Amino acid sequence: MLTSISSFLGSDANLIWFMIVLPAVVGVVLWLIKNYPLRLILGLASAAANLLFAVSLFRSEGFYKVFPFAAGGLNISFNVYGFSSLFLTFIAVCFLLVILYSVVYFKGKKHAGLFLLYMYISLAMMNGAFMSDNLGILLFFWEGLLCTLFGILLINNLHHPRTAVKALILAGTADLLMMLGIIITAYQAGTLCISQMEKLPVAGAAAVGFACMMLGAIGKAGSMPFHSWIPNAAEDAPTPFMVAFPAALEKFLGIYLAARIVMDIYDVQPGSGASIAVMTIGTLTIVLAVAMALIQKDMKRLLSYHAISQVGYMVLGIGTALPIGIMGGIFHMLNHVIYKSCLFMTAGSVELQTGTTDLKQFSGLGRKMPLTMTCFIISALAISGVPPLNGFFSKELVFDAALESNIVFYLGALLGAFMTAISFLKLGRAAFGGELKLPAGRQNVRESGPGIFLPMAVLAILCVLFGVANTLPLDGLLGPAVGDPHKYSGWPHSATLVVISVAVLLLALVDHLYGSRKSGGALYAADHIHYAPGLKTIYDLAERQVFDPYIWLLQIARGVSAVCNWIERGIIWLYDDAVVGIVKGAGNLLQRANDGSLSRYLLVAVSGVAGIIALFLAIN
Amino acid sequence: MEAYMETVILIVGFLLIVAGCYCLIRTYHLLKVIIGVEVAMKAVTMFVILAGFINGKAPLAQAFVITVIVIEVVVAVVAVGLALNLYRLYGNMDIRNLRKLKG
Amino acid sequence: MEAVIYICLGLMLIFGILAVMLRSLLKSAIALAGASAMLAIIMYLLGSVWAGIFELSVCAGLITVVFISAISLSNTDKEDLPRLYEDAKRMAALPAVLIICGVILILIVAKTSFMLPAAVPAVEMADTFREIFWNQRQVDIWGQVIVVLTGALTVVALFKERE
Repeated sequence: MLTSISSFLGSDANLIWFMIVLPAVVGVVLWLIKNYPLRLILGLASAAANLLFAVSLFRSEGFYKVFPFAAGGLNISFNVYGFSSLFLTFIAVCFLLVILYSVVYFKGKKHAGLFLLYMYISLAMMNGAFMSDNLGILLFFWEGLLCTLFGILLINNLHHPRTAVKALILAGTADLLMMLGIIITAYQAGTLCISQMEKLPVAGAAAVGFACMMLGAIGKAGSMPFHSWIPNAAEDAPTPFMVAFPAALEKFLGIYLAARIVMDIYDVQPGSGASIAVMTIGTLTIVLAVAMALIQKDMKRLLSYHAISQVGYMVLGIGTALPIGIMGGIFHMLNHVIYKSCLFMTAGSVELQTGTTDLKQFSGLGRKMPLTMTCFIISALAISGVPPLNGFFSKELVFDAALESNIVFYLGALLGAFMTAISFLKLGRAAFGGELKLPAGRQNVRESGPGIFLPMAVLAILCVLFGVANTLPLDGLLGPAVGDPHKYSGWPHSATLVVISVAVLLLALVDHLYGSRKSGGALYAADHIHYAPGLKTIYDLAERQVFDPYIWLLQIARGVSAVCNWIERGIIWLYDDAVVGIVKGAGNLLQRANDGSLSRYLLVAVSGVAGIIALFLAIN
Repeated sequence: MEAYMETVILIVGFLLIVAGCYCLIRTYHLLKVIIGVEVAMKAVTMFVILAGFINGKAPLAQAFVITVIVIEVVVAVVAVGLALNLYRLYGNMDIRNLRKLKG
Repeated sequence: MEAVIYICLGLMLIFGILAVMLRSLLKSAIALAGASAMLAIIMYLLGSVWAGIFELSVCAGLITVVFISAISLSNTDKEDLPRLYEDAKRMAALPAVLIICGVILILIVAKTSFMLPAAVPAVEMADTFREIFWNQRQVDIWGQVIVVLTGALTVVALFKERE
């Protein structure tokens, strides 16, 4: 049956109709339906249909379709082969779970229809982006996601759109950089289609193109310096948005493009300048973001900073340009999607029950919500890199690649792992451990319904599965897709690395216990790091948004507008004051010369005539 | 040394013009203004006649001079009429009364 | 002939200076008449007979009469000029100015050795004065007529009796 579906999709323009137009139409229909059971059924059915299409495409031989669209080489060309159809399948699975979660989450709340509309249009755009082979069309779909991002962030905040504007500007800047990179790359390679490009060396103008495209791709994924809107979104946007976008979908897109850049478009050598630059960005992201995450007291903000930090691991892996690194980066992305979505889902579940995610207002929910707590524990262990869950294996691959490149990067990644473990120990014990304390008016907290619990459970099981039986993802799915025949499954072959990682985890546990004893409670376990002498000032500056690139952009914009204002005032002064003043002054001067005396008039007249005569004589 | 006379006439003419303009500018009496204009006009007619004499076209020069003299007379008469009217208005012939044109 | 011209030139200059500098207006008008007479002689000697006649009769006669009538009508006395109008003081600088200008002019002429061209002997022209004046320059005639009429009307308007 799968082959018949795939051959149906491959004929004519059915790829466009069914993978791109159909989700958009379903989105519009869901926006108009207000009936909750009908919405649930239609949403699940359409997501399941999308999954079916994606799987059939994945199992097929692959298609290469070209639809002529416009002049200048801008054709709609789709290249559905192993790598891209694998990603299509990933987002289809993710989308199914997210739709189930969000329809149940939005039951009885406003703006459910709008949210679903934007989600489906984003799905259409992402399908298009994964399938497209032509860089120009890829850019079109990429930019479409910008619009839906802005739309979702406006949902509850129509009167205070600060997060939406900030996200638009930051993501827009990243997209602009990517546009510039695409233009330079296309100019250097002579063509817009990726499959027709030979790998370009990273030198001269091509280096600028590489840098711009990489920055655009990883900026979309949420790495620094385009990261600062995500913690703001954690406060302003609905939780299913956090589950879908910063956790899962944007990572897929960004890392997909980054991997394709390193594998197909540019020939990046391990140890070259470009590789070191990318790895530096990745390591900085890891360390700085997790340092910020350490001190947060709000669950969603903490998780969003961790999302930023994990992108650093993926960027570091891909930046090494070693096969093991690329494989590690992509596998880490897959694992991150699984455990981060699960973590955000648990946060949403807690929010549904207690009405808030502020850790100062509740604690000890473990007794009332055991299932949520179990999913949380599994995902937290996975993100910290505890064996034998999936996070451990992908982190080991990235550590291996980083160590081969340079020990500095390895130490940075290790520091990140240490701080990740600390912060999740703090979060887990503060939210679910200790005594039961609930905010006022929410005394009957119970476990969430099956609609919320089912996606969480599926993701948690996947965490365990991909860890214990990691031959399935690594050798079965990713290996053939990337085209790397080397087997990376099984335990990491370097025992030293494993020992060091486990030692770091134990160190984190010790530090957490020490901190909680010192500061009085699990919530304040990280305070001894927060208020350490040198770090305290840095944390204060960060809280005052001194390091936020968006604020820098705003300052620059304010400066530019001040300069323009000054210029305009100068021009107005010129017209209103200077010219008028000169004319009036001359008039006054002449007025004082005209005193009504005949003698003076005659003198002027006679001397004027004499002057003219003298001029005539002189000329002749 | 030839054409010495014409140059002298030229210089005297210039001096007369200067004298006439000087009188015009410095006086405070209305009638003296007219005298200054007349003196300058004499010099002008002398120049015209001189030019006719040099060129050999004396009749043409005379035609011009006659026209100029007619105009000179009419100007003098009208100016005297104006001066007398102003005398009637102000009681004296001072040109310092005529400052209402200032500004 | 040249000597006569020089003498007349000198007299004309002197009469002109007198016309400007004299304290009494009556004497100024008479000096003006004298200057006109000298000019008429010069014109005759330079060959412009008709212009000389015209100048003598009109300027030396008509304008002087007009001036004298104006002086008597305005009751300007001989003493008024220096007293009320500070005329002597203001005109005192005239000789100095003239001498300076004369010196400058002579210097210019001497330096640039500027000479007017010599007189061309009178061409025996086909047209006499009569033909030129009345035929060739008819526009001038009409202009003169218009100006005279305008002057007459102006005087009439100026001296209208106010009721």
